[in-house]
Amino acid sequence: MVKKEILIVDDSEINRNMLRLMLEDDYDITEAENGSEALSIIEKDDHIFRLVLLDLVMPVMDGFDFLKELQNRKLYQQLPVIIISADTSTESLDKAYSLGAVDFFTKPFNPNIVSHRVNNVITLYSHSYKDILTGCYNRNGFIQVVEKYIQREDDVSKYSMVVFDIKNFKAINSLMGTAGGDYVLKSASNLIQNSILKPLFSARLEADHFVCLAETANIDYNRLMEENGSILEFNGRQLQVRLRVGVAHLDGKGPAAGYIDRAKLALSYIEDEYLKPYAVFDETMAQHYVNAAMVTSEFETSLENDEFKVYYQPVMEAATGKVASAEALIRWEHPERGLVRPDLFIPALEKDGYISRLDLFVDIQVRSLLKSWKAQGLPTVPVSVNLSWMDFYDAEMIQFILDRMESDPCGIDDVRYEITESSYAAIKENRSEVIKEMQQKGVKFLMDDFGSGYSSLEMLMNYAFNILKIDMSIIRKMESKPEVPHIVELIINMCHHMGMKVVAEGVETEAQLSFLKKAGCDYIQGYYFTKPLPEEEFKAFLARHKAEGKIA
Amino acid sequence: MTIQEFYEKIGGSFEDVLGRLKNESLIEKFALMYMNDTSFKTLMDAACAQNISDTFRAAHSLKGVAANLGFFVLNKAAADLTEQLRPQTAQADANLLDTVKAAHQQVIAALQEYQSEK
Repeated sequence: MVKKEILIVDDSEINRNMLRLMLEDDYDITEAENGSEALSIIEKDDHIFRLVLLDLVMPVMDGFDFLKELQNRKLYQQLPVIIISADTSTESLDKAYSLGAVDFFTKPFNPNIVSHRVNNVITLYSHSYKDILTGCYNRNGFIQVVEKYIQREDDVSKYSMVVFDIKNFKAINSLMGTAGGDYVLKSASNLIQNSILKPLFSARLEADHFVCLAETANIDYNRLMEENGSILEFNGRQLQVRLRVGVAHLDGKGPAAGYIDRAKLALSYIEDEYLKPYAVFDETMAQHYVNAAMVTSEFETSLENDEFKVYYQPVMEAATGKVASAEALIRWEHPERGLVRPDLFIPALEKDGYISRLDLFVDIQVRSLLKSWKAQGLPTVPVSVNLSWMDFYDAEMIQFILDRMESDPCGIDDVRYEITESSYAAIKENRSEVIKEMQQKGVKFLMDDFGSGYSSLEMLMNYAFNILKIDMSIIRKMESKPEVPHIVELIINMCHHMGMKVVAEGVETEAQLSFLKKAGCDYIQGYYFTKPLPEEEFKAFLARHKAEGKIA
Repeated sequence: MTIQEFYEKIGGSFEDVLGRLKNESLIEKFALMYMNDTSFKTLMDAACAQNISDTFRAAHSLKGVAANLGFFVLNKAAADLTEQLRPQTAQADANLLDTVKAAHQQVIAALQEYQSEK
């Protein structure tokens, strides 16, 4: 770890040297001969001093004037000053304290007193940049030190920002209680600081997120993974702490916070939580990189500017290859960033509560499209609209959809709703009766992404879903994991017994299709047939299939 | 002459410095640094120029350095002069200044002797 910095201001070289000697094992020392020199060193702003040791009587600019200047520069209010003077008259000390000095010690310097007082004052003033729980930096402190550090470096490209989170931390917390959770956080912080990364600085960003700056050369993933998964014991219970790692290589003198965001983004690209719980940020991620603040700040104008487009992915009948329905998918055609991936902006919108407006937008678009095509005598199929779990916290949103259903001349089965497993908790809490009410009116519901998370049989039993969609992550594993086809077959059978139809999502190959057909899967969605289509192409797709008699 | 003998000779306390610096060779290093210290010269220049505030400042610095080095006699002399100058109303008292000068010269002479015997 990089040492904390102390500025010693004294006109005597002997005095400065003695203090340096007493402190240099633990701190990084800079010296100034007088107040004026000290001020210019501070103002150059390439150090982060945690303390100033200040002599009072000096030529050029004395300690009192230095303190006055420091008070004028409000930026340095967090910088404590200890007086080191042979002059301990009450009058002088009173004046120094009134100008903001926090402590004093006299000459001759006693090393024990010096080190204790220095340590005490630095600790006392550390709350603005330290994480109290783990003792490492907090987000602010980390960004401050890293920014300065990389400013001073000629070549930053040898460094990486490494972000960590603790796998299943919420579960650990509820299993072991807050005290246990805190213990795990402290242990994780120690693990990171003592890891092979040899971090220059490390911090807890928030909750179970940690970050460190390290030399890229120290990142040996194999060894990092060997160190990972250490067993901790708390109150006689053993548990294994596994860290997930996201890495961003530094590429210029960009802001530290930007690299932290990149490394965090890399975390979300981790594919195998057990064998390869790390990911490195790369340019393809950069192209899709959208930060949450941008999403929410631009959302409203983007919606007004028609940047959000509804795409339609046809769903085909497995047995006949006819078009059975379609799923409405939102795309963001950003004027500068191009197509923004939904998995990047949707979580941000969910977090800030904007997602309901987007879901509503899609519902309105789909309904008006179907209405206009029907009026023109064009072929249509039922289209499903996704509802986010957030929607179920928004009573008005659901009511709005209900009202539209009543007033809308669209057939009741023209628009269906897809709900993911993750919505279950929100529905159960809030709007259980709404779903049932909609179902009574004849609205069809699809269980989306089944098998991607905590697949809930309870949810399947409590709500009479009409259709279940097997998540594409399962379909993709059918060829690589021998047990997966059996699971798929079982899901299909189970659904049929419960009176549900089944859609397989993400079907891409002939082999997948032929297996699914044999297994009795009802519908197929995926690139094997077609990718999601913009409105005009979807219209043409339907017209072509209509001409061939291929609309179910 | 040992470094202990040097401290006896100038009326200083080797034990006091040892208690703080813990290490004999460091004590020697710092004691010898005094030969290049400018506090005394600054003091004399300021006193000659009859600049009261500079004289006070230099006396004060010398007092601090002497305290850190455990040069008690010099420290006491500089402290007395500092207190006399503190109100900054009168020029340096000649007797007090002489006492400082004598203490300083004794330290320098002893240091030179110590160095030549090494």
